[in-house]
Amino acid sequence: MKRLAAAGILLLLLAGICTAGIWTIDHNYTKIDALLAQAVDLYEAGDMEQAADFAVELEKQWVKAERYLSIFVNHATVDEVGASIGKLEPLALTGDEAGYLAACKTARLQLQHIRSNEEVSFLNVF
Amino acid sequence: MLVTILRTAILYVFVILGLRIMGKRQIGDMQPNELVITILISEIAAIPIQDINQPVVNGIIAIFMLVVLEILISFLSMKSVKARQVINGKSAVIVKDGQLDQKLMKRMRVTVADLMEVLRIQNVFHIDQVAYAILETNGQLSVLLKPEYQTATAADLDKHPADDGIPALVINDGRLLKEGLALSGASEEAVEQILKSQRLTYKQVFLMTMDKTGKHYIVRKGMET
Repeated sequence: MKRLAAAGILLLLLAGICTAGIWTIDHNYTKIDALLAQAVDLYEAGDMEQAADFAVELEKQWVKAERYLSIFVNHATVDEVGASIGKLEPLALTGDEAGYLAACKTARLQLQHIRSNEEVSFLNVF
Repeated sequence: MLVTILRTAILYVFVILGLRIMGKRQIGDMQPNELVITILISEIAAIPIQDINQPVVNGIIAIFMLVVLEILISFLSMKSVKARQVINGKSAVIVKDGQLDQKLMKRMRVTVADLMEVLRIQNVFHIDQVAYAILETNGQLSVLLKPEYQTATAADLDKHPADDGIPALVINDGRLLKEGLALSGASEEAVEQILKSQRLTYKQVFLMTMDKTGKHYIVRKGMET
């Protein structure tokens, strides 16, 4: 019975860790995706100067989010998103609008993959 | 590199914790599912150690989930005979009444060479001396010799030897062990008396065993036995 109780405690612990992981990924996905959406809006508005300033702020927010995401997500995957976000400021400053938009969309897609990898789906399980 | 050291230490702690919770037995005594889980746990623990891109928490989740599954499977095996047979298999009587079951040996993929080897390990060199040989679910062979080849016991000779109890370790590397004292039924004073009679202190004793009749055995530190 003691081992069964230990198994029960472990299951609860696992449920807690998984809940924390899913919440962290979801929360940070929502936050950063919203910021990337704003970055795209700035591109559509044609204001690349403001887009460059926004990219700096976005990178700061990403650095904060990265710290928590790295606990639950493969670090290389997290780094890829960081690399995409890191490109935004120089692309905006150089006026490379197409590159800027591509980097925004790449980052959003990579974030989407991070979130969707945690879904309990046939593709993910098998 | 420091990261690898820290990850190794963290995962080592969790692997030990997991194995302690499971209550592992020696490899030779494990059921097939227990052996699989043990191997899996060690393989899973190695992944975050070798690949620092993998979050440590993923390894911990997998290890604990395996521990939970193993405990649940063990519980099910204990409660249900059918479940135990499905999970662990059934013992197979390879030799019955001195007769080899050749069909069963073929089905269990046990060759004559395998059988002879296992018998020799159990100090049985003549197969005609074997009454029963049972292949257990953990792969070990249990052997019962024919009565005429079994070692005589005190009961067979109608003898009634005294029960000396179990010699317990009462001093280990200079330290008195309370559990050993309780097991041997001896008192601390009795131990001190014995040491005093041999002009020894606790610190000079490497090991001391004692049984309930007071029979003792002392190895001094630095002394070759």
